[in-house]
Amino acid sequence: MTKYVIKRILLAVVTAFIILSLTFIFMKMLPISKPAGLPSVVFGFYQKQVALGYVKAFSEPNPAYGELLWQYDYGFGTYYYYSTPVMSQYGNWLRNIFTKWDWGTSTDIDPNVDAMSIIAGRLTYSLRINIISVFISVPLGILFGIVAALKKNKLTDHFISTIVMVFISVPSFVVISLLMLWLCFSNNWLPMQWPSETASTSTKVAGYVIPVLSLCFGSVASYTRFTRAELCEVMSSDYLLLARTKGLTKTQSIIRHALRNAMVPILPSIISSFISVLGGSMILEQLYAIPGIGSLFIDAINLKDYNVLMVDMAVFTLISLLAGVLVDLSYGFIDPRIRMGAKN
Amino acid sequence: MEEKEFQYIDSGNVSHSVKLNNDDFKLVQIDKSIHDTKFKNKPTTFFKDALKRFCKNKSSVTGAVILGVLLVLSFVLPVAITYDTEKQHPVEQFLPPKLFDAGTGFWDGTVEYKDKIADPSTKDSNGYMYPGESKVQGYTISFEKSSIVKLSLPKQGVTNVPSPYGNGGSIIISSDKLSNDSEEYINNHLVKYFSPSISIDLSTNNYLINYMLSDDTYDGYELGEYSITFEYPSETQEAGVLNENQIVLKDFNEKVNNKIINLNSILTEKAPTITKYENAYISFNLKASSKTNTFIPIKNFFYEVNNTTDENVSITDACKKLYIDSSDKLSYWNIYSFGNGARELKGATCYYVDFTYDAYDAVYGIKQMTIDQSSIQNYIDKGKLPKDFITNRSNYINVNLYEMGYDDTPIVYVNSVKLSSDETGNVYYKFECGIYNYKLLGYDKMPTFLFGTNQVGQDLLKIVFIGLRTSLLLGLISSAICFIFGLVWGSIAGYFGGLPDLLMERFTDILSGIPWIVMMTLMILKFGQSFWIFCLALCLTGWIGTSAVTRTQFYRFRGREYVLASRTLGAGNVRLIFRHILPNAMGTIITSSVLMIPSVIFSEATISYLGLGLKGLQSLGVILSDNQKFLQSYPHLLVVPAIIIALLMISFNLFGNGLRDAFNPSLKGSDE
Repeated sequence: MTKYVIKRILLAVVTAFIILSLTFIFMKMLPISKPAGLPSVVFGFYQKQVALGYVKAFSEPNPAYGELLWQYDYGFGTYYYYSTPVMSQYGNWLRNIFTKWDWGTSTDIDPNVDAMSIIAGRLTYSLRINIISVFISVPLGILFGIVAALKKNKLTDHFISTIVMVFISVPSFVVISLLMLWLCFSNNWLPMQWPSETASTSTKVAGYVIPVLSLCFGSVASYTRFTRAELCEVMSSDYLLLARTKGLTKTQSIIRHALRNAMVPILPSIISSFISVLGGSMILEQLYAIPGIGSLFIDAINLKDYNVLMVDMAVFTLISLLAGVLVDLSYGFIDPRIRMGAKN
Repeated sequence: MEEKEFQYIDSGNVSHSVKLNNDDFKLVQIDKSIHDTKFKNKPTTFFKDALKRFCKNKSSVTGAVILGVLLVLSFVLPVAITYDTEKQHPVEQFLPPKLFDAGTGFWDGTVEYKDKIADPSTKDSNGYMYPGESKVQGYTISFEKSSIVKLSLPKQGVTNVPSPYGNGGSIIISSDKLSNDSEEYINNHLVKYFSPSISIDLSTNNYLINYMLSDDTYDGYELGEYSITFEYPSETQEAGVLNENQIVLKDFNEKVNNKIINLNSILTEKAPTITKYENAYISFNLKASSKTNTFIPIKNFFYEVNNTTDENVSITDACKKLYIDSSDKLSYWNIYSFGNGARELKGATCYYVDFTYDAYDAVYGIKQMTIDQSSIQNYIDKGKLPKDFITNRSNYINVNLYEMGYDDTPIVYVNSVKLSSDETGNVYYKFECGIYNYKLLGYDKMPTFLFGTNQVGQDLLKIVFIGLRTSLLLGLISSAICFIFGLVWGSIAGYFGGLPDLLMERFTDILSGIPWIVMMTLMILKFGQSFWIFCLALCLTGWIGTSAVTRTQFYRFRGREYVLASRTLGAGNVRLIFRHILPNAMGTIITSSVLMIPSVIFSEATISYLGLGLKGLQSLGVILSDNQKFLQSYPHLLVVPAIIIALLMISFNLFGNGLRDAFNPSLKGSDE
């Protein structure tokens, strides 16, 4: 078991490494983003890039390195900046990360600020919203799922299933837009965008309603559907019939046998959803102007701030890989019948 | 054979005995040749059975019907609606949806406006006021008096938005709390306000600064720490840079209760040598504070000479001053800010009205316009106006030409005729007319747009269905590419197994490990945002699902006896894959790939919504993303495409789920 866990984690690390390497190389093939601003600020940026090894500075023009990025007259001479070849940039990038844990600095979002600290600052917002919505949506989703499964093919079930189908089908941005239209613009009950730091406490609390609601709709629907499907399958199994024949009441048999077995595939997905709270939601954060890491990703793409984009992608990739590993491992813990890493 | 005796008990519990021998039995089918009889009912195929079971599922059939209708409409409507959506029609922008006549109250092309600031000068004898002009993001919005359907009586209120129709109020100067860069600021002044330049001759006059701060905090504005400085330019002074020629009239922590500063006494005390100041400024300065926002709400500010108010330096009417100032007509109270500090208005009084506005009438209805003689002559030559229209012009003034039967020109009536002349001295007439704007725009009758028009005046109905067509095409083509590629990839991996399988599996592992949004973004940033690039970008990770299913199916079937038999007969790999294994695996593969189309459309809409969508083409995602910014002011622009995409997704999912259940062999008969 321990061996399997170590193997899985190592494999995830290797995959993450390959993914990030590929992303880095692909991204460095894109046109570079040149910072704007006062010459002193731009100079600071290029000096930092030189120190990181992404850019080379020469005292005279050097056409062998391709397009000239920038030149700076410092009084006694001129610096000419060229970008380093992609693969050697890659080497420098790896060295900076492994030796100094330096992921580069931002070019546009918050010029000359460490990319890692930008992410760290944004992470709390995404985290708060997502954790709240997970704590609301998991119990609700499982509850609705159980109700639907127990009342299978009755009016309650049809009602729940229809709503679930609608919320699973409708894209999240449609839900968010309509929610904003209804709650913020038409009726003015809630703030129209994420409240600023200086807003009053009541406004801040009200600001959570739209993000949490819009995140909950989708996940409640998927938990409901998942729970209903699993529970329905268990309910029609032979051992449940046996439980009834040996004299258990319906409630007893459902709680002791059906629910426990139905939970086996549901619990891992809950665990993975706790991991993915780190990821934030791009569209929601973009629409409601939440300064989380999802909206950071879009800002970074639109502003071509590749260093920030790279760190953001690293976070997303690690989250999804970690979630995958944890789900696989949790199966083994929850259901002893599943032997992890066993040879077939 | 001997006779045998059998005993049996009948239902009445009475025992019987019967004797039987061989002759009592006869072989029925002896000497008959027995064949399989034909089934009396028709045999059903896999597909027919699936269809039958699909049709039983009512919700799936509904989904399929809606889907079909949408599909047909998306190809018919863009062709059937002749309205030009290539061009932009700025006059006709933002028309609301219209189906019924105006005034019916529902879907009638009218807009309800609430709490619009009214123009007090339009007050009529009944006490009604008409809404005034307002500026929104640089655009001037005005309302045609004649197109107002329903108007409420004005009610008095306060506004915090600068308006030419507001009165009084106070100006709030707020500091920039986000900026900690104090180098750019002198003495921690974050936002500075200058009064217009003043000239002072201390020897002759008595100067006072009289100001009133509204320190009521009901709006959350707090009276921040402030100072008042007096600056006068020296010969070397650059614009906007403070130098030593600055005299503090009131310091930050100094408490001045009477709010009247005697300029004379302070100036003569602090700079005794100077008696005359030319082009000097008085400015309010705020202290930087990174903790809280700081404000000075200035209700009133006078610069007085000998107790007579100099009008040029007062801000009594903050509302109008701010409104005019934004169009840089006056340099009063120019903001002098390096950061995010701002100047706002608080508590100006104004009148509000609610009204219903017929947007179609405002755009297409009668408008006043001047038409010159040559155009009129043109109409007369074509017989669209009476022949004596110019010669007997006075007969036609204030006569409705449409009622006379001349309804082929935009001109409805003539108000007046004026004489005019051009540079060469030729004299001609100018007709002041009321014209129907829709005729001028080239429509035969008043247009109605079912879903309204968008920000460039294009018919939303047509735009949405063009977008739907693009989305559907993109979904179908991408899914087809994904399906074929996934099939081939999965077949090879599953059929050959071993090392190729291992390598290919690791490849898909890595590919599926990269977040799809990252992949798409990189591809789009690198290669652009055209239709085919988009198609390919959507395929990047889309095929992985199909290939996984195909691979498992091949693993399942490749060791079967019929494959072995075919191989021993000499069949090659290609024949085995395509003739033997694939047809058997197809059902499962198709069922698992049905929902790929909606998911591709979903991905496209999502990525378009994030602003990385198609360029130069309308798709549902692009439309939604374009119209997002009008959510507050013109919700129909977002609601209509949102409903269409929701409908599309729901019906696709219903249809797909039904299809999957129908094709799934393990569910056969489970519902009966």
